[in-house]
Amino acid sequence: MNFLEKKERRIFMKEMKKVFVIIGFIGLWIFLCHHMDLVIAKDPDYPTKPINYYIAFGVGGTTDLTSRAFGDATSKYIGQPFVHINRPGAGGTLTAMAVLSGKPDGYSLGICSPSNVFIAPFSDESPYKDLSGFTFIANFGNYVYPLMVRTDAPWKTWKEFIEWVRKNPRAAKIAITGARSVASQGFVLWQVEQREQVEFTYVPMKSSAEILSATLGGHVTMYGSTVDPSTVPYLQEGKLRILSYLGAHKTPGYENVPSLPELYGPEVAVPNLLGVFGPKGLPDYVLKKLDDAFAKAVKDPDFVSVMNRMYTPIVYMDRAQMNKYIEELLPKVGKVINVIKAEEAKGKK
Amino acid sequence: MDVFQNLISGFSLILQPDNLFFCFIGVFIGTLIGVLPGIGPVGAMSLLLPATYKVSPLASVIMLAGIYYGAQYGGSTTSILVNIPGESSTVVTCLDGYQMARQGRAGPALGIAAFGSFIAGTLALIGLMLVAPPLASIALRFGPPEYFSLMCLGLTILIYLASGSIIRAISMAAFGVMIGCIGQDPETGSSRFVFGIPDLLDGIGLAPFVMGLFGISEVFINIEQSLKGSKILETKIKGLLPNWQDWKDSIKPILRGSVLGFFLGILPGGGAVISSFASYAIEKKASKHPEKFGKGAIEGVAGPEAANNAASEGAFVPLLTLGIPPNVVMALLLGALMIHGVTPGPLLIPKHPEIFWGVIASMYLGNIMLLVLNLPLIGIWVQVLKVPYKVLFPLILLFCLIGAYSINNSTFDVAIMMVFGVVGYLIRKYKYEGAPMVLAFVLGPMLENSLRQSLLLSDGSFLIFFTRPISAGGMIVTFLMLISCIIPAFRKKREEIPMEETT
Repeated sequence: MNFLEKKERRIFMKEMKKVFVIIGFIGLWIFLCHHMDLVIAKDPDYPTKPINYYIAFGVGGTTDLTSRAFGDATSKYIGQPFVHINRPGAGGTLTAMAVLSGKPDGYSLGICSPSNVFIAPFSDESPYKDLSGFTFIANFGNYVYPLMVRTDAPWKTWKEFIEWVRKNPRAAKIAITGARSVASQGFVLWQVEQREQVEFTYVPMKSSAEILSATLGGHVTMYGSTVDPSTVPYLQEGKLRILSYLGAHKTPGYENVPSLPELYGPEVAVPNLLGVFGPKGLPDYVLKKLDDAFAKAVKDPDFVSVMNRMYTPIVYMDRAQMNKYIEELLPKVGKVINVIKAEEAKGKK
Repeated sequence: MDVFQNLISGFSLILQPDNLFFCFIGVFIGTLIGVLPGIGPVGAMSLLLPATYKVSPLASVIMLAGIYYGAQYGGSTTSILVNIPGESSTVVTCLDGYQMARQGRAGPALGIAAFGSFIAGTLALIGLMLVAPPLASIALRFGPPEYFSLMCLGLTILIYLASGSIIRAISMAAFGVMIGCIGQDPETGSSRFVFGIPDLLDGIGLAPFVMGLFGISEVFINIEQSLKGSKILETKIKGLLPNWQDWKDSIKPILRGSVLGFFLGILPGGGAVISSFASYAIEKKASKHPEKFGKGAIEGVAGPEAANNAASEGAFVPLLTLGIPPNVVMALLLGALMIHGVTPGPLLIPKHPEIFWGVIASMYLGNIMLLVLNLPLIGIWVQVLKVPYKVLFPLILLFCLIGAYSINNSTFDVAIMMVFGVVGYLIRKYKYEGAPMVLAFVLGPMLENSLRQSLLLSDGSFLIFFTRPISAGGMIVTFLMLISCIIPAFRKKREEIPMEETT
């Protein structure tokens, strides 16, 4: 019995040695597989898994629908799905936070808009005070901001409107989305107030739907929000009239109305952006893949048709163009916002 | 007869197998998510929105609409069974529905909720069909001052909502208004009670707030009770369907709730939530035995359930005829239509009559499907009451956690829900009530917004609330209601209602 046990033990030890050797080899193999790039200098594959894609506003709005279409189009060319995650809140700042806290591996990207790029850095509440934490990758669209009144209003043009405001100070009630210092509309119109030496009253509302309703009902003087496809039937029916546009982009069919930059010169700063950003430090091989895919996606027929239906112009800017645009505009925006803030602080006293 | 021709053409569209299928899928998912606390129609619809890109615009709207009104049917189930509102619009149903369940009358409560929803849904649909375009123009006449007086009127509901001490109800309402202040100042954009937390900038979400206050606190309360070995069910289950007496008590509240819900649903804002609260208040006022409210009065289930269902269909009026979505769900539907190149608005009915009449026909069918789907389920739901706490409550907690997270994909909302779970627990321990707090939380920010917008419009003059007819009417009714509270006779009647805890 004793002998047998000893023999068995020896056989057992022998077998165990074999097992250890095999485990060792497997371990080495796994190590090599995972760190091949240490051994051979080669870019890792990207993307190998779905990409998290944070959308800065709620489901169903213009930003959401166009961003989804862009993500879907891009995933066709990059070979991995874009997982749409709506992180609305604080004017897109929460999406920016999600991007900032993501790893720079190309698997967490987000949608940037004027509010989280141009307005947030100057807000007291914002968790970021500059844009150094982001990589701006591509811009795919722009917002259209028509300034509309009811057709039974006495003004046919922007000039007539301004003359009326001059004679009736503070009588012009312009409905905008959000407070004046945080909404890009109030910010652009403030520059007009300065140039014309007039005063508007801003009525902050929650959504463009609420603004449309208040404008149609005659409760406010002017609609001052982004173009929503639901406003277009009212233009066609002749219930609303566009007096001007905040930025250069216009609603198809109503292009002959001059925009504010056309009326007051290009120095009127109008921040306009609808694009994709990621955290800083994205490796080159990720950026290269994304650059290629985004450049193709803006020409994708499905994407183009959604953008047309949403009355949102396609404005493609690659990485260099987008960064240049932001770098040039940001200080101008900051200057205006600081003046508005100082004014508001004075008003409170 | 134009209407009937159009309706028949609508039915011919909806009876096509694929549309019928999408209608069924919609109401089925709606019932399901209505039953699950927290996972509301917004979450489910936004998940399914991309899936509708490939189908026809009519089919996608039919399905998404089905989810919406289906959720209103299902939402009452958990309110009645375990005192946890499946949707924020079924908070009021908890008050009497849960008491009925404890008395073994869960079946009749669920039954009257289903029948009430069906009757209200059908009535609201007739309203939608016949009077949508003229009503839509009335909705446009509601500007900020009109909303302000409407919200003032809404706050007077508080007087009737309290089943115990009125002082306690008002203090809870004040607490609710304070919590509603969290976030950004609507006019200046400066932050209030944010403490440097960016997630608080947009305020506290209604769903995590309500789920914490009712759902999580219910779990906490029951952790104590299960030690004593008690069950939800205090007596045996009595009957599965409402009896003749129940019907006699409920039919008027259902009819009143339907009309009220439909009209409040048309107006932007929390139509379904406010109309359910308002209906409860009206029924309590109209009842010959208001002392029964809060202790299992079937009218307190029938009225609000009818109201929230009618409101969900009234909400289609401004969407389809004006292109103005009165709530988030309607905004989603607007998005679904726009992605198909169909823009709701004044031109929808002339340009795409098939969408308008198809949706209406689908809602008739969907309501019937929901009734057929929900009635047999009552038997199963009642069995849930027999599930022991140690199994049931971890499951409830799990669904609440998933639900809170799914709204904004945010763990912060989960934390908010847990905080309000503790708050709700303490409130109930000290015999306060959650419902006035929810009402004030919903109305407070809307009241503030419309007040400040109105004053901007009037350059600071309060006269604006009295110079406009609708607004002036609302203010007068509000004052009358407040005065009627001060009149001693009425006050005496109120005080006769014995102090009672709602839970």
